[in-house]
Amino acid sequence: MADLRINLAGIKSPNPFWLASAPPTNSGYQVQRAFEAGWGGAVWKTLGEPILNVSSRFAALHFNGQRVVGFNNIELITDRPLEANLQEMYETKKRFPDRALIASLMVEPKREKWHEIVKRVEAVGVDGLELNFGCPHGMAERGMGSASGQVPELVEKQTYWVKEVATTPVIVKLTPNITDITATAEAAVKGGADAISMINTINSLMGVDLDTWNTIPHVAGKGAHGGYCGPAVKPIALNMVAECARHPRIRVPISGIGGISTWKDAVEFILMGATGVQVCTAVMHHGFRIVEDMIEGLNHYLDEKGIASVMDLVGKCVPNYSDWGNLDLNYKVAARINQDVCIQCNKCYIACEDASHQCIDRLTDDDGKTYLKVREEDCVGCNLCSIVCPVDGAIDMVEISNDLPPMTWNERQAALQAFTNYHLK
Amino acid sequence: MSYEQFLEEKTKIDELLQQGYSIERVVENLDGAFLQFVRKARDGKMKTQTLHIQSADARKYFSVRVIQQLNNA
Ligand SMILES: Cc1cc2nc3c(=O)[nH]c(=O)nc-3n(C[C@H](O)[C@H](O)[C@H](O)COP(=O)(O)O)c2cc1C
Ligand code: SF4
Ligand code: SF4
Repeated sequence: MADLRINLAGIKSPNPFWLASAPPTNSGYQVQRAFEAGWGGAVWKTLGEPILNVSSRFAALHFNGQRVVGFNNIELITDRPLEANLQEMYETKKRFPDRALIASLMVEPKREKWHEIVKRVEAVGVDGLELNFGCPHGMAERGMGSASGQVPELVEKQTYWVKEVATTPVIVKLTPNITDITATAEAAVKGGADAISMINTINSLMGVDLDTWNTIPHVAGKGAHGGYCGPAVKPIALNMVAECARHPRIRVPISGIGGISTWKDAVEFILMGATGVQVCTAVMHHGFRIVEDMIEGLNHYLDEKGIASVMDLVGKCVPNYSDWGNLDLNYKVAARINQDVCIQCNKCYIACEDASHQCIDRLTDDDGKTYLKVREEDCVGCNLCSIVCPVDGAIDMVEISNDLPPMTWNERQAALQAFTNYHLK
Repeated sequence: MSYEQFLEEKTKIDELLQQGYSIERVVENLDGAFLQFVRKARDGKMKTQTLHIQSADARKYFSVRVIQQLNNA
């Protein structure tokens, strides 16, 4: 059994799986049941001045029979008074002293407001704070959430105010609704953040009803943008985590969030620089018990790889993530169709013919049977045929060796520049 | 751009290099790359040749040759 314990900026938990601040962490009843199920930590539903929610607040994207590929909400932060939450947090921490209990906070961008809530929350014995600069709807209209999370100066200033009084580690939760998340991540670090977490939800409109012409969801015939999350956002979140992890001036631990449903998703985030992960949509879809599979899967994976501790995985793939200009232009892969596996559905042929490089030939063998064959020399190795192929193993993308040395775009441009200078001399 | 076009362009580049030409100038624009080759003839006069390289793979290929030429300079 591998060691699954993590230490994120001083916050310790028995495994890297935390509940994200969201409906599953709304109350002591829920968080305690989550801890019974095995969750290593929980970020409580964001605390602040209790809000008023609308009814009809969630919607989901189902795709081709798969439910909840994406999830959308227009819910705000907690609608319960601070004292009620604090009492339940105190009891939860007392019952589960080994789990990480984090308070998510959101108040107006005023120094005294931050000081007040930090002091009251820390008094009940939380292990850390998470500043919610990410909620994209409702709160943003009031200058909170992503409205302040999109302005680096406000992120830095508010983080600084919190750090003036905080005695526990401070995690800054970032909004993905920004062109370059490293700008706000860096601002958080400048403000003194001990860690950052990402992503919160992405601005979204889930759909429009074709009969009523109402938005989905709608509130008495009106809609407003919500926040998008769930499996569909994972690639966006993973890139943002990786971009922060490889940034030279963002040297704080990262808590990875966004579309994580399985231990495999979690491992990807950890390899790309996250010290632990947080989960919301998958729990809303399947309940707390998914953590059992996550713990078991991660354990097996680490044992199989001979890795003693999950902390040894953190960031292992970050050096593999670079800029496009550092990729080798002379590396080549090509598609190869395995005739004994192919079911002749023609999907790859159509894809290559209509949308790629027209290099799959439809041929006839000596017995008059048709088959498909890739002209490897014309194949650009785009992967499209293997992406659309419905049969596992029918198409392999194989490396094609050539005599050319590795050459990146950056090296090429530098060489051409040097060459021009040399000949101008 | 087909493999044949790449081969054709690569062959032309290789032929000139084998004949003792070296790449002198590279101009890249919307129409691809224009390579100017030079060679000193026996009579001491400079001879030049220009190739218009269009295929992506041949544009990668001549870049490798430019880098090699720089490294050997
Ligand atoms: C219904 C709902 C309510 C949420 N409320 C909060 C919140 O109060 N505070 C917060 O920081 N994030 C909130 N989130 C965002 C989640 O914590 C998380 O960042 C996001 O859902 C991405 O993770 P996922 O793909 O696992 O759902 C909420 C998400 C959902 C779906
Ligand atoms: S990898 Fe791309 S170019 Fe090659 S055969 Fe498949 S679809 Fe065509
Ligand atoms: S998509 Fe796959 S199964 Fe279908 S014809 Fe191509 S290789 Fe065969």
